[in-house]
Formats: sequence, structure tokens, C-alpha cells
Amino acid sequence: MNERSVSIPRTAIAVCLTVPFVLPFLFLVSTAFRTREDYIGSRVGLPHTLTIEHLRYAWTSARMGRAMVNSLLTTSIAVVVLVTVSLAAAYWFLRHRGPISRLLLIAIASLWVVPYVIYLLPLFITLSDLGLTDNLFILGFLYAATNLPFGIFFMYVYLQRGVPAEVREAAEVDGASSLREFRSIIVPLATPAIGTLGALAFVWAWGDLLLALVTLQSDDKYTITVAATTLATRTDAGVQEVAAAAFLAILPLLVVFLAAQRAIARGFVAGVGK
Amino acid sequence: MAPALLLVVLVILYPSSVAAAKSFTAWSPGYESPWVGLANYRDLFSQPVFREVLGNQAFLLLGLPVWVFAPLFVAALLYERVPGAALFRTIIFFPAILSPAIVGILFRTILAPEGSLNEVLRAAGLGFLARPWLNDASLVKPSIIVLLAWASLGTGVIIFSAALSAVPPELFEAAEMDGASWFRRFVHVLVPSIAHVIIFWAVFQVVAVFLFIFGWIWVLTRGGPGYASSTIDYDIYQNALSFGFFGTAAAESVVLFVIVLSIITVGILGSRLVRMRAS
Repeated sequence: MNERSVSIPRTAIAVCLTVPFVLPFLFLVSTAFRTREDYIGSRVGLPHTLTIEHLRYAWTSARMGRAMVNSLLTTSIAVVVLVTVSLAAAYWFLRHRGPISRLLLIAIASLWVVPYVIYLLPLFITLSDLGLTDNLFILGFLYAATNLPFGIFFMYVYLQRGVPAEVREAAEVDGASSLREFRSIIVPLATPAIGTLGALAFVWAWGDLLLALVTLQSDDKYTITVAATTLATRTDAGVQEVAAAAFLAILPLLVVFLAAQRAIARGFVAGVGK
Repeated sequence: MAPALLLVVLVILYPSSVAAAKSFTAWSPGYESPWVGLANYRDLFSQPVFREVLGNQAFLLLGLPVWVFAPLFVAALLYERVPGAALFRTIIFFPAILSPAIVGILFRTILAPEGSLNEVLRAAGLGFLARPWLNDASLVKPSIIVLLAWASLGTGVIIFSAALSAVPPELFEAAEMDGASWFRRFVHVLVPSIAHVIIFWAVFQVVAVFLFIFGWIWVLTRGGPGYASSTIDYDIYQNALSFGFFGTAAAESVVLFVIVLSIITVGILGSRLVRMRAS
């Protein structure tokens, strides 16, 4: 950032730019937390009342509470599996350098551009033959697997830059086993990358609609996006109940965003900037 | 390494190959799938609906200049002399991590015929501008283009800002000393200095329009009105899971894969060309 004087026109434009990024969320919150009469009176005006009636409806009758627990379960599995498997695989690639392993790495990374919808149908048919649809654990593993091509490549690039060759060589000279080297050297060094990939996995798994829609059938298994979108397309649910449901779906992401914003931004930059 | 390979092969590689193989059969899960050669592909391309879907995808690509230049402009704006630039970037970036499906719920309400956008327009005396944004066949695609611009702006700004911070500031200062206007500096100094990142972002945006748009369409329009906003991924879902045309859906997935692969190939060649010119 340049240290010269503040530019008023630039700053004014920047302030105006943020308006369309703030207003929709203010509208969402105000719709979700005002009474029905207040909303009908003036839908876009400032709220004069406060009620958690819609939130309670969304939480219990629309079963968003249940959906949130389901989403937390699948998302946690996705985060843990994606981070662990990516890190281990990236470490393997770091130790086994050669033309064949390099080719394998490129092959895996390029699977990132295979569209979901291509493998979704055979996957769904196989899963239902095995009786594994409608299963939140399986869904968590699917989230991890679909993001592995990115995860492995991201971790590999990080380790290649972040772990100095001398550190690995020193560990090998001292006779550290590779598992011990992995735990005592690689994992601590890779902590920032683990944070980034973990946050990205959370965001992706929490926000997915397609995989959940295809593999889940019973409504007590619905994840938060499926439950909220199902409610939104039901005719008996009002705008305010839907807003409350959307609010519940967004809230955990806001927490993750505020906690890991920099880490997520790093991941996005790495994902596209490579 | 073994768990990674196992997951990737079981979840991505093997099912993808099955889909590709089944695209040449009259695929009906649970029954025999007799070989039909290219019949699924011929069917697909003779369907008026599929042609409309391809047309929709092409129309959405008209948004590309906006998706690329809007974040570039904002990144340039926030580059210097704006206090709290990081805060502005944060606010704009938040939608990028939200689920398209959930954001879609929000905008379904806002853009509805009696929704809040039209209400604001009427209240401001601009009622003649009020439209059924998502229910009108000629407005639905432009509306989606704007929503995609809204959702991707923050990511673009973050990426371009990171690229700009890696450019030596003397480059920009020298141009300013020479008395070049802001626009000239933008076109002749800023854009060329991060040209490779701009190309990557453009390719990513084009690919995203083919790969990651399902959530938006499902929640906002269900492909409607008619098929006016149906995209390839949404059409594949419908063909397979709503209508049971699995063979057609498999052929359509292969077509989608070929399209994405071609875009990426063109993107890689393009960025090579830019780098060759630069050196």
C-alpha cells in the first residue's frame, strides 16, 4: 500500500461499492427477525419489532437444527479426511521424486477439472447398489474425495516451498523414521497450509447442494443447504421463515470466515494463481 | 499415498470412465444396457432443448468482460490511497465463500416480481424499471450474469490485489511521473504487468460457468421460465434424475467434459503466448 495522501474520490467509490454487499444481508437479517405485521407493513424499511418466532419455526418445524447437526458431521469428516489424506499424499510425493511420480501428481491434479455431474450418476448407482446412499459418513468422504485433486496439489506446492531440503535431510541422517519425521517436522511446518485447506474444505462441504441432493433421500438426513433450499421451494413456507433458515445456514460460515479469512484468501489465490 | 489413490480412483476416475462407456449404451441402471453406438449423441444434438441449453451457456459467457474487468477495476482502485482497503476487500469477499444455493434463496426473494428490489424501485419513483427479473425469458440470463458478477467480485479482487502487490511499485510511479492518465496507466501498465493472472482468472470464470452453476439454477429458476436459464449441469441432472434418460445424460456429461477440456487447453496456450511475448 502506498503511503501517500488519502484519495477522497477513491475512498468514496469504495464505500459505494460495498453497499450491494451489505444491503442484501441486512435485508435478510431484518426479514428474519421482525414480526409478520411489521414485514407486511413495509418490507424494505427499517424493522420496528424483534421476534425469534421465525427462527424458532426454522429450527424446529423446518428441522434446520437437525440439518445443522448433519452438516456439521459431514463437514467435519470432509475437513479431517481431506486435510489428512492430502498432507500424507503430498509428503509421499515430496519423498518420491522422479518422472513417474511427477506424472502421477499431474494426473491427480488434473482430475480437478472433471465435472461433478459426470461421475455423480455411476457413483450414485453404485452407492445405491451397496445400500450406501442416504449416509452422512459416506457423503463426508465424497466431499473429501472430490476435493483431493486440489488438496494434494495445494499441499505439495506448500511443502515444496515451505520445508527446506536441509530439514528433511537432517531428519534422515539422524535416522528418524518417515512417520516420525512426518509428525514432528512436516505437520508443524505445514500448519498454515492445514488451516487454509481445512477452512476451504469447510466452506465447500457446507455449501454443497448437488452431491447432497443426489445421495440423500430421507429428510432427517438433509444437510443444511438441502433443508434450506427445500424449505425455500415449498409453497407453505413464508419468506420470513425461509430468511430465518438462510440466516442459520450463513451464520456458521460467517464465524469461519471471520476466524480464517486470511487463510481462505490464501487458498483462493493459490487455487487460481497457479 | 494409498488412501489418496483409493479415494480418487473410486470416487472420480472409475465412475467417470463408467459414465463415458455408458454414453454409448441405452443405459438403464439395474437392467441390461445394450450398445447403441452414437445414438445418444445424435439424440442429444437433435433435441431443441439441448440446443437452447447450449445457447444459454454461450449467452452467460457474455458476462465474461464484466467478471474480469469489474474485479480488476476494484483491485486497481483499492491499490493505493484508500484507507481501510483491507476492510473493503473483506466485505466484498464474504459472498465468495457462501453457498450459491443459500445466496440463491436470498436473491429469489429480492428479485421476485413483488420482491424488495422492485419495491425499492417503486418507492424511488422508478417503478417503470420494475421487472419480473427471474420470470422473464429475456431478463433471466442477464440477471444471472449480474448475480455471478456479484458473487465472484471478491475472489477476483483478492487474486488481482495479490498479483498487484507482487509488482514493483516503481513501475506505476514511473508512469504517473510521466503524466499518463489513470486510464492509460490502467491499460498500458497495470493490465500488462499482471496479464498472466488475468488470463488464469478469465479461464477459471469460463470453466466455472460450466462446472459450478448448478446450485444457482436449482434455487433461482429451476432452469425456467421454460428452459430459458437451464445450463448443461442442470440439464444433466434433470435428464438423469427427473426423466430417467441415463444414456442421454451420460452423453451430455461427456460433451460437457470435452467443452471444459477445450477451454482449459485454449487457456493454457493463451497464457503461454502471453509469457512468450513478455520475455
